[in-house]
Amino acid sequence: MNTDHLLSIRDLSVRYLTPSGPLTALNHVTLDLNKSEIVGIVGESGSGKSTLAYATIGLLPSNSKTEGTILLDGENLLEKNEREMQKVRGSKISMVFQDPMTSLNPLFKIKDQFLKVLSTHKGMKREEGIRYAIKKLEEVEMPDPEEVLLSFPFELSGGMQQRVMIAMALSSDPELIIADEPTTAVDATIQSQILRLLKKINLDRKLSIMLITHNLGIVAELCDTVIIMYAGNVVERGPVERIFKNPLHPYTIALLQSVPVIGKTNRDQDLYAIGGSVPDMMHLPKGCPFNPRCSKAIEKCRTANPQLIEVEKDHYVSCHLITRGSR
Amino acid sequence: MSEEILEIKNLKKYFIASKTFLIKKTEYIKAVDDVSLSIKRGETFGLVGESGSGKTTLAQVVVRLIEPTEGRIIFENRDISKMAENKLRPLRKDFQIIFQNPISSLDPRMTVGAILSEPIKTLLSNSENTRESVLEALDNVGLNESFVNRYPHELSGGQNQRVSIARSIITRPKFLVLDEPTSALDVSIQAQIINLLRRLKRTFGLTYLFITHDLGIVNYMADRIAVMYLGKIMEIGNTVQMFSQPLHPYTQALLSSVPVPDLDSRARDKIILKGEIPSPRHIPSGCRFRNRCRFAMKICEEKEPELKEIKNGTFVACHLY
Repeated sequence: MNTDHLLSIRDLSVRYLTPSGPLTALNHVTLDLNKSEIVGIVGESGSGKSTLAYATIGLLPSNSKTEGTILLDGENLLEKNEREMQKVRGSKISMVFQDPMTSLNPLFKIKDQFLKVLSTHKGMKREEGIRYAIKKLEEVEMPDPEEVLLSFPFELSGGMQQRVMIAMALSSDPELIIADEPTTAVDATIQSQILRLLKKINLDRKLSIMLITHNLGIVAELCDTVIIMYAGNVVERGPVERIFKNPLHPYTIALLQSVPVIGKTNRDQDLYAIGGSVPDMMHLPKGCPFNPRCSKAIEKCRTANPQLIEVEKDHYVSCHLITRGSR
Repeated sequence: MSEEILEIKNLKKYFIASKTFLIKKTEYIKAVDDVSLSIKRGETFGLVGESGSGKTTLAQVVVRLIEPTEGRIIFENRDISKMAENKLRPLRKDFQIIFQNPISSLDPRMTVGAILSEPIKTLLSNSENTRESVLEALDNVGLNESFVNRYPHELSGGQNQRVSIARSIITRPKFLVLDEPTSALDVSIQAQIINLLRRLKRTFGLTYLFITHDLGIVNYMADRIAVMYLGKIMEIGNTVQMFSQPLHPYTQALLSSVPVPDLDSRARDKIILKGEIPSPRHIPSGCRFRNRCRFAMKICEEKEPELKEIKNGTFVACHLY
């Protein structure tokens, strides 16, 4: 096993047992994340990107069944019990959620919520905690940290709330931050501030970030590697440069073409649109899950789900039409 | 027929924010604060801005879902800003609106057929061929007859948005307001809906007021664009021109903030604005953008810049010009 990897996920499958039957949300997902690397997880609704995040941090609902391994610093997180996972969450992994307004408790001042985190995970007393919290808020470039600590969440803007969430996430000095659509709920100009902040934290602290997003622009700008997911499967993964320059999976190609790019997309032509819609996870098609929408599908695609294979160094694709060396 | 289908003159919409028994003074939220613009027949006019810019309020005032506080809305040479609802109703078939979230804008207890028949019954005098019209409208948005008896919850987000588009074109309007029509949809579905909207515009000779925060989409769709900030227009201009040479410092920052799914743009220097959008209850004096502006001068604090024509068709509200 390569010891450079901070996080190594092997054959991770997650099934939800729902009243109407089992639903496979993740199907044999494998990925590696190096120290100080930013990986973007891209997919549409139902792709399993959030399930992947929640599985990694051990917050899946109780009706889920997980198989495979998630190695963090060589330790399998799936073998840990709830108490041990709580320790991991308080020291090695932190999470930043999409909507800060719903992840902060509206009834308590930021100070109380911050101190709770610090006393639970670091055993800090009040005075020490406040000093520490101010330091963390300064690290996320928050103007007026003292004032912020005395505020209730509703008194802060969306951007400031998200900075508070990031400051709290940093307070345990984690090695990995999982950010689930961290800028989807904020405005464009605030989004650039938050993205720049995440990059700065990544550089300053040599911290790894797993960034869940549906925005390919954010991936191009911020990430080192990217994983494209569709209906619970990884369809392509590799370094950002290679995937954007030489996308191989028909879904990746279509996804990149369907977003209008300023200055590049011809305004006189229709956008490239993938037909049909995202499959119902309860009734996945046989074979490759993308085959009913794929313009290049062949007979084999309708019977067998392709394996993820390395087609060039670090570039993996799961498609029957792509073989080693096709570029 | 005049070239302009819609003219907005000095339009204001103020909401009353707080009136407590302690504070007698009424506070206003100036959601739309003196906006003037005109939309030409057949064009797609893009309206962009962040939260609190007033773009959605403007959309709702324009189709008279809410009353304007002041100002004039002239639709096809008729001032509809103060028109009584009974006079307005016969005109409503000509201007329609499509909302962001298709699920919440369709009645969950009505079938698609019933949803589509409603505007025919309420807005058109002749409702004899309702069923044919419904089927035709479905066909126009790429859905078949089998959808007539289905309910919104049985459909995907993209299909629901198609139904809501069908509902708005069934009266054969001339003008459509599209308020973030693709924001709630997945990327692959977004492209389908955008293509559909472009096709309908060509087929029916529609005029669009297209509201979005997605600059990639507006760049692709719009002929002209207005940029709003805290209730006011900062810049209006031709799309190609604005994207190649944005003039207002806010437009410059906004355009630069878009993450582009393209490696060539990785190295570019972004303009990152300081601070946050102020609350519309506490709009800064002078130019409302000045506290975040890189070029703010003394005069920006004292005097609110007027929207003036800098070059042919380009209007900017900034003391730099």
